[in-house]
Amino acid sequence: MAAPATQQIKIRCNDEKEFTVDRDVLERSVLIKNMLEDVTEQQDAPIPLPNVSGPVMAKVLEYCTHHRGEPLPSADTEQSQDETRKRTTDISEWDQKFITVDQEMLFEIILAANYLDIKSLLDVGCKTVANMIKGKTPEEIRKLFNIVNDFTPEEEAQIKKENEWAEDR
Amino acid sequence: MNHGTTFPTAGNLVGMTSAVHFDFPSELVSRVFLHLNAASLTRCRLVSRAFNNIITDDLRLQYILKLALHNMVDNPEVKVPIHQKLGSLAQFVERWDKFEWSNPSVINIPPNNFGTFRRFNQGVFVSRGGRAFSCVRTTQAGSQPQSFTITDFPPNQHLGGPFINADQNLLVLVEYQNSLELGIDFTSKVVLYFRSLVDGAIHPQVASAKVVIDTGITEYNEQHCSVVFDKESNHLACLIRLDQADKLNMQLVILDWKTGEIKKDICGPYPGCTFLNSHYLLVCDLGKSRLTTTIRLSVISLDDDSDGLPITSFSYPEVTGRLFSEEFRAAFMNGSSSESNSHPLNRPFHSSGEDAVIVLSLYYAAPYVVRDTDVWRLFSIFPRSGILSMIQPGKSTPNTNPPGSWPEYHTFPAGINDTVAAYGSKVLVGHRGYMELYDFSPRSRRDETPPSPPPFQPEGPISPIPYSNPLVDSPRVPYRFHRFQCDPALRANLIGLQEDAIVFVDSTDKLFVQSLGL
Repeated sequence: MAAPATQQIKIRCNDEKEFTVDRDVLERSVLIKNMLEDVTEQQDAPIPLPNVSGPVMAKVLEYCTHHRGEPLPSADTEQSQDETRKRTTDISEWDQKFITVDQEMLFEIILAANYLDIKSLLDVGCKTVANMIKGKTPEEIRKLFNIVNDFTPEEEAQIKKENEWAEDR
Repeated sequence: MNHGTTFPTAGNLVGMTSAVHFDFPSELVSRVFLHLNAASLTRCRLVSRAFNNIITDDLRLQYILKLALHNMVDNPEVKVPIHQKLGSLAQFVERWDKFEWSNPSVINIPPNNFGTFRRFNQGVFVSRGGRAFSCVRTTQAGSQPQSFTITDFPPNQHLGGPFINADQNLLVLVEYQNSLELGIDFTSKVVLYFRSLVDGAIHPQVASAKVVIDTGITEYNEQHCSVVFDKESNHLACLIRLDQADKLNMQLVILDWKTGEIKKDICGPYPGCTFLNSHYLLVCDLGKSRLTTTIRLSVISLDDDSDGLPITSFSYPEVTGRLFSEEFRAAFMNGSSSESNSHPLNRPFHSSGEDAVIVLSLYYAAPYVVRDTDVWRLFSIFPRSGILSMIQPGKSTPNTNPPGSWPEYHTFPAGINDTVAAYGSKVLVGHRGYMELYDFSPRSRRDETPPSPPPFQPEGPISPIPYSNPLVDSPRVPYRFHRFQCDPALRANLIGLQEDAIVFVDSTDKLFVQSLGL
């Protein structure tokens, strides 16, 4: 039952903000895609998305609109990427520009991508955070994410000892 | 999110379980960490207990750290569960740590024919000259060599090789037929014979037992041929050097080895060594002048509309000496084809064919040794970045090294010529009566206060205990180091070091294969 490409779907975010979006754009989200496939008859009520706010959804939709029509990653590539780390942290130019947002928005986008199951967006977000961590000292990383050092001096010394081999890399 | 922010402050961190971080579930934090290298991961361990727990609990992250500890990189083509990869890595390390020289398989080879030996699918393949070949399985310690001859191949007609495709157990022999000998034909021909590596029978997967290539020239002065396989596409690249009058020319033929169909046949100024995947040919050229050797890498596109000329070239002019590796070859990895990463040299490549690790599903950033006037240097090829890196003597931390490489260098005494072999971070050096195995992985540097070295006794019995390398000029680098005793009267003439075996030809023309049985 192939739906016409122009079919419009309504969604409602947790702040009551509503969007009306082309179905193929929304189907970048595996979560929504599965929801739509389960619904057989035409529904007018908006799909509630209790875990996403309006401003974040606007960003996510911007991403989905830009990447509409691209093939969704298959389960196979998903597995191979999990099994073997992709060392490259290359991000395409458009994505790079897209993800240049403040840290709070970046984390919200990652959480939303995780919830909505948009793997490519989740990857872009995770790579961006990884790039922020790269080359930084533990203290700089704590500052970046507002994390408190909760190690005892003994624990810290122990880990430092275990890390010794990698220190002058 | 009491504080209106997405990451915890000092206040809300108290009482948090270790599974939560800046509002990310630990699964997401792991996902971020999977994009980090070992150096960054070790720093993240020091950030907080929660970060540390995530890294020590996630097998994939542990794998990244363990690989770096042993100076290895993952082979993404092998899709087995992560615990299996960790297990085979641990087994590999343990076997090499316990390795002792005993009970090798022995193959007799004719005098002055040091038999090319190559790795093939879980074994060592030896060309004994002419039509004679042998192979030994290294999966079983002390297994008996199997020998065979190929009767329809003209003896002493090799153009190079033999060439093998380790994955498919395919043996390719190359014969050159001179037009003067052929009589009526106007041009010389190159004939490729496709055989099974194990018994020399016609390979079951080929359509024809041999393929004839027309060289386009009538006669030749000197000839040479190299063959490279691409396991993704079943293509085979055959590079034939044609010396005609004063001009050096190379003929490049790409063919499907299963069908024998010739896909491309072009002539150009191609130099010696080749690396291949289905889309690009990487050509490595050693340009020699009186004082220096320049290593040049060129990339040739194999697309249908390509004119066969290099689309890009890189030179490494600082290198003095020569590449030591018996055959310097690697293949681009044919995997992720991200458009933003379209430059072929930005793609990772790994060593191909007989150098690829099959049993362990792992391969290495391999250090190679380059000869200088009076010292030996480590010369590294980093498969991930595709960078050739010279590790400069006299500088402890050269900044030209790619990220993740090892700044240390090592010098060997002069005069060890052909008795050095490298595999991964291990380097094997042969002497009269004994061999030395060095381990340059960071793991070996972690050993605290190594026991003092035993007195240097080349001819006496030497026990294989680890101790610091007396030749290293930096005392803070206690490289792991073993000595193996062999027949005290013999000297290794040619050494090979593999993932699971040590191979060498001694001065009595016997080839020894000592397997770890991995």
